[in-house]
Amino acid sequence: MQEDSKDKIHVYYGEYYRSLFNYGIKLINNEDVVRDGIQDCFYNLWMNPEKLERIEKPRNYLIGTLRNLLLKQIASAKNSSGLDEIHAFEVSTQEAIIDSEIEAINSQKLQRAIDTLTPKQKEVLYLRFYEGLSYEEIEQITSTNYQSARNLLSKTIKNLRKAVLVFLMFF
Amino acid sequence: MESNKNILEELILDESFQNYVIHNQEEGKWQHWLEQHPQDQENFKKATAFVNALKFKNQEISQKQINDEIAKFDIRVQKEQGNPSGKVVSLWKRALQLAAIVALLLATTFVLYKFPLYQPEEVPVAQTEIIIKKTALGVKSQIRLPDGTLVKLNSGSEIRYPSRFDGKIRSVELLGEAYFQVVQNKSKPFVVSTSGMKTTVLGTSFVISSFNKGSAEVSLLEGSVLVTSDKEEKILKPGQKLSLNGNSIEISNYDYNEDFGWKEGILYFNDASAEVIFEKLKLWYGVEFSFESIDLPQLKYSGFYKNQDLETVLNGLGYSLKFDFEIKEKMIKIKFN
Repeated sequence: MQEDSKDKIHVYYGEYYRSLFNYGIKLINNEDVVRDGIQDCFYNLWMNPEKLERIEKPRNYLIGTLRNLLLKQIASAKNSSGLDEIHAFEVSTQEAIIDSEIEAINSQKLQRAIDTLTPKQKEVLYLRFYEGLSYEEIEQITSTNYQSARNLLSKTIKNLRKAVLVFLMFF
Repeated sequence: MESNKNILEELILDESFQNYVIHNQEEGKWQHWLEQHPQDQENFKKATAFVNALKFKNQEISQKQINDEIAKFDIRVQKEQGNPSGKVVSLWKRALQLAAIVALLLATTFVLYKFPLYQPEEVPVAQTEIIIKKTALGVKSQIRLPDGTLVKLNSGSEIRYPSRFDGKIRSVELLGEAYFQVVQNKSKPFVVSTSGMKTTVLGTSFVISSFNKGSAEVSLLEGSVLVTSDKEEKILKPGQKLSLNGNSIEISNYDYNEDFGWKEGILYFNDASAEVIFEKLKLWYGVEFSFESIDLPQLKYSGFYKNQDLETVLNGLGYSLKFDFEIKEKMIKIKFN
């Protein structure tokens, strides 16, 4: 039984470690802290065999757990009481070339548009476009901390719309 | 102009369009949309680029880094649980947890080599015979295993399997190269033994080839697979290839056509030397080559032939590599100009 759970966790490492690391490093730019955080996530899961048995979407569950862990750490380091405040979410845009004939997206300008978003909004964008999660899944991951995830999402979409408009000016 | 921007904006914010770019979902719907809106082709491309740009930059993480983290986890579990058996991991149990669809490939040259069946204590059940199927050079064949698994055997290869899979695992031995479509059975992992290593899968399809003692290759198409040698265990991710050479194991990315093309009749050379080319042709067509000079010219060639006969291939090669040839039944004379 113990061996089975351990095997399962090994497989989850292979499947989700890249996602977890890349997500975590955007919350806090410190590789050691992120690595330890991921270890704690997996260890907690191992200590909770019932959860491990019934877990439906391991990726979402693990991202959510890592998020809580890291935010708690950041809060205690900052001595702040707002436990679940996201202070930063640092993303940089991919160099995207549309077509050799058409001009490439000016990624610097797109980056500037994205920098106008709040960290929470950037996080939503990241989970949506990089992890490919649905809005519902994003809500589940973040809802433990946000009173109204729905509001946040619609705000983000509004802001994305603004960012899109800014972006369009450069075409 | 303004309406152009609206269409672009609408596309970017459309959840179905996003899913199309992110997950390749509903491809048909968006192809259809493009056909209906030929004037918006430009907007479509821009919207795709925008969504792609939002995938953001991410750090590459190697399999080794992940394996190191797994090792750390194991150590921590052992320490904090005081579990002395923590290090002993049952391979087939671990294999149970691996994902379903798998494709692999092993090996290079051509020495036949025999090895014992995996977990021999499971095998001797009454009336179970070992069946041996071989293909000659230049011939490929297709076999159904007792569990329904489909095997495509490449030229000059041999597979051994029991007439019934009675044990806890489905164990086969391979000398040479084969493609497997494994029938899924979570309680009976499928294990392929080749020279120096074993490949454990649960999944549905993979390719293996192993011709040479002490060297082998596994290329994974989909899913995940556990490879074990005497010294090491590795879990491969799709797109990765594991090469075993003596004691050293290396993981890299493979070229699909090079490793999997043969099962679709694709003869593929990627920056190949003359030695590699003629060795491959020998195996593929079951012929022998003779050369006028002892040293083959130093050259590199890339090319792609699908379901072609030997003469067509030699014509193509001869033109690029500058040689003439003469076919006498199974013997081919090559003269470089």
